[in-house]
Amino acid sequence: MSRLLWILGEVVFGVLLSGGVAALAVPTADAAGLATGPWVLWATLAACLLVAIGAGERLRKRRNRPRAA
Amino acid sequence: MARRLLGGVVVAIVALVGSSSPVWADPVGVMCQAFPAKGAPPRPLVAIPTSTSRDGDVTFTIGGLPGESTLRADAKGMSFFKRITADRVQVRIEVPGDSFELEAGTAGMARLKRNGKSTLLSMTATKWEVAKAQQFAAGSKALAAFESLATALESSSRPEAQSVLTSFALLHAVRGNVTPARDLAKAVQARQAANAKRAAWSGREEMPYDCWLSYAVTVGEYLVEYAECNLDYGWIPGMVAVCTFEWTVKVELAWFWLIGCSGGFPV
Repeated sequence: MSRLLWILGEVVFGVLLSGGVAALAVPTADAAGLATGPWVLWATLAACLLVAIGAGERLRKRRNRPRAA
Repeated sequence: MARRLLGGVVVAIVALVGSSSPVWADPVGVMCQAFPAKGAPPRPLVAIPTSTSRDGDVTFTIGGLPGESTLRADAKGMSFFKRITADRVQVRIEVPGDSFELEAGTAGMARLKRNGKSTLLSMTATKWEVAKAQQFAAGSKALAAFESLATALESSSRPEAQSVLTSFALLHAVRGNVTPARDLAKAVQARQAANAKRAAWSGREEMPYDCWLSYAVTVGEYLVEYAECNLDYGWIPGMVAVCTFEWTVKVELAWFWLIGCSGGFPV
């Protein structure tokens, strides 16, 4: 149950993170004259979900590691 | 593990960006490749010319494929291409050393492209967007040549010439000058037959591309508003945090809107 909640938190954080990343990246790309399209939505979402899940799992393992006496 | 993961993500993004670069070796052909209908078979690379005619120094070539029409006008070292589908119009003007393209959809969004660079606009045309379009088009040789072509065709009543003049009016409208559009409307009204049917708006489902254009323009405006908020109120202690909070909420709402508009999560 705890693990399920942790994963859910990682996914929610990843989606929120992708929103912030896209909101900065899209106007920057537009100003630089780079063409963007709907694929950016899915690419950003996938990348941020991977980053959030990767970082979250790493953090979870570190927290659960037995502390040395 | 995390490094490998990040490396993979970067490689995937670079591959996607690399494959999205347009190649304009054959503008008409590439225009016909753009935006294929969902589930439609691949289209041929070259438009099929169906008729060629001349009006003074201008040569018109009308072509088309099922669901779209193309028009090409060549005159004195410049080329004009136009492609019309049910929900989109693409206009491209080329002269040696310069090219300019306008792509507008019925959702009220437009994209300007010039020599490989592009910018997005909303047709609601805020002051900021008009300034952006004017700056983007400034000094374009292609647009200067197109002005000459439009002037030469002003008195022509040929349908091809009217089509060119409509694009001329649209290109001016996105830059905040509606005079050519008004002139065109007056000229058309004068020629309009009594039994002519008026175009009617029909309900249409939004496609991911329209959603994306709306989103890209909106977040661009949010970033400008955020910068203005910081400039105007940043001197008040804590107001930078308030501006950042406001921007964050707005962009997250826009992001969730975009995901929903593009089809949502497959759950």
